[in-house]
Amino acid sequence: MLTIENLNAYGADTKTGLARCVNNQNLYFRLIKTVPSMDAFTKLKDSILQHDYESAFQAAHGLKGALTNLSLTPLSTPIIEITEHLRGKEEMDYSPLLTLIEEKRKELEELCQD
Amino acid sequence: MKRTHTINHLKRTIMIVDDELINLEILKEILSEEYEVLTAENGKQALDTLHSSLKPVSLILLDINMPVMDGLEFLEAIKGEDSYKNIPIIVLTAEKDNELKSIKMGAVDFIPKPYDLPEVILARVTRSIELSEGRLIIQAAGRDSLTNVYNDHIFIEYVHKMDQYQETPTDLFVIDFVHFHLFNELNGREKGDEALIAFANILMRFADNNHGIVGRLPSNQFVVYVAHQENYDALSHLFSQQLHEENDLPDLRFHIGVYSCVDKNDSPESRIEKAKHACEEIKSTNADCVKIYDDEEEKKLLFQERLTQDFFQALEQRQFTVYYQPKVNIQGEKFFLTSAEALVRWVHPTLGFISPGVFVPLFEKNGYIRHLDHYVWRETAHQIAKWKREKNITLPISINISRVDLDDPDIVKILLSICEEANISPDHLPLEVTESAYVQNEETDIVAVIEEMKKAGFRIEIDDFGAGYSSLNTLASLPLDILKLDMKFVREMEKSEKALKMVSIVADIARNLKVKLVAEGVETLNQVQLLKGLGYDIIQGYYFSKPLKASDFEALFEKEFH
Repeated sequence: MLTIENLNAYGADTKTGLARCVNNQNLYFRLIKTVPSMDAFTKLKDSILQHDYESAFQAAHGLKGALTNLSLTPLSTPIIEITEHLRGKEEMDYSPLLTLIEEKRKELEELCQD
Repeated sequence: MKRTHTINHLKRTIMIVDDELINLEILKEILSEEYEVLTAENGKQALDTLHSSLKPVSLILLDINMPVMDGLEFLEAIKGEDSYKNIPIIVLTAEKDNELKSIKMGAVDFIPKPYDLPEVILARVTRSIELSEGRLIIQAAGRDSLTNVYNDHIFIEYVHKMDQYQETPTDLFVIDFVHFHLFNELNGREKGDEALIAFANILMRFADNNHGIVGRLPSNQFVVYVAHQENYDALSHLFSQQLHEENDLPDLRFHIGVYSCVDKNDSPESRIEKAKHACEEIKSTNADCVKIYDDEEEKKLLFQERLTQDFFQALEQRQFTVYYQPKVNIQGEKFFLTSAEALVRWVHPTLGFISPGVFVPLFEKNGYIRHLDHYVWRETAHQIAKWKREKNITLPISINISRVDLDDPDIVKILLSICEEANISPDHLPLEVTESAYVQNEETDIVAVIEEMKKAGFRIEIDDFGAGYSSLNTLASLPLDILKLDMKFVREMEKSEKALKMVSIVADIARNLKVKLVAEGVETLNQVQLLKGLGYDIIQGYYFSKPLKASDFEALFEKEFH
């Protein structure tokens, strides 16, 4: 269930995230609930698999902005890291980062279920 | 959240352009209490929203990385949209590179992601709107609404600014359209406005290329302050050509008045006046032409204006003095004083002696001469009476009648009343009328006026004879007593055969008309002898005496008569 306590336990910086949402908890929660189903996660994964780093970068960059604004640190940290690698179109093994991102996305998805 | 800044009570509309829903929603939450918020997911959608929005958009918050049309492409596209290019844009970015790039492309500010401190975001949005609206208000207030050039007040402010940064010589010129009101009458106001806009555009282009600025004066005149130009005739031709080539407009002629290499100690207002003055001088001409302001000419005009302003006070304070120049009869063995001419002199309390050659033509032009003449006539009449009373000497003193006096229907009455007041006979106050007065005067029947003068008892002298091109027919019809040869013939007769012939012809005319002959401007014995030989009766000039004050003249005739 999505609560401040659960989010804190997840590792989110809810104080900062809420402040960015003008301390509107309803908005904060509503926006967080949209995160697990964001198309950008799929686009990121698929683009990397196809070595389309430009598209992958666009997807990662979009996620980075949204997740940092909500202060969802466990997700935003690997997203920031992968964004920087993709910015330089680095040929590397992205799977550990993708796995971590997927893990944290799923955790959040579970939190968001009533 | 409390408002950090206020603009005014109006709730303005802003637009957030971001493809990321979460960011967009957060900003909307921050801003929607203060603003109506429109949203778009990319640059293209933003342009469409702008075009369809019924409300003006006061500010755009723009993400950079977006699909379809990104933020930088949007910045480029909006530059070409006249209606929207002035909307302030704040860029939303997490990339340092984009901050500089977007500012260079016209963004007014940027907000870094993630969005810390919503109050700061709101304050930055509000401040950007305030600055932009302030700038637009100032721009609109400072520009002429029709032509978009500066209005006169802002133009003057910019002249001050330019002077601070520009040390090279600068010119200020004024463009004045010939009979612009008639152009409007003939072609309609719309065409007139069109012509002004076209000309303003030509001038703005010229000014942009020559480090200058353009303004519009309250009248239909443009004013340009620009780096010094060498050839204004060519410039005038160029403007004319551009106006005709680029615009399908009826012929519109103009004048350019130039204050070249302005004195930067002059105020901008004074510079404009000088250029306008140069323009004024050529106003009566029809062709496109240029007049460069002449400082000496201006000084002369200022001096004349001062004399005009001081005239009535001078009259009241009796600053004008009548001088008397003797006229001497040379026909007998012994030369003798026969009469004199009253001549006016002006000693101004601060300007000193002012030549009658300066103030007489000026007062003839502005009509003040009538007042001055009446003063001189009265002074002279009283002087004649005084000498008669105190010295028992009656000497005719001729007075000058100006052309404007002849237009006065009461002239004879006035002259008679002066004689009556001084208790002198009209034949003691001969009247000198210049030949040009009756040649140039078309409105008044001069012959009738002179006949009336003659009938009233005045003697008539034709002054400056030979220079006025009068017909012999007119001359023969005038009841004259004396012909007074124009002094230029006397001056030239010793070196010019033509002048000497003229002196001789005038003597023949006088003999035929049976009138006496006077020569003035006589300065040498040789001239006296020549004139005597040709039959001239009376001589006036420095050879005998310069014009004298009444007291000095008194001394002269006391010697003569006693």
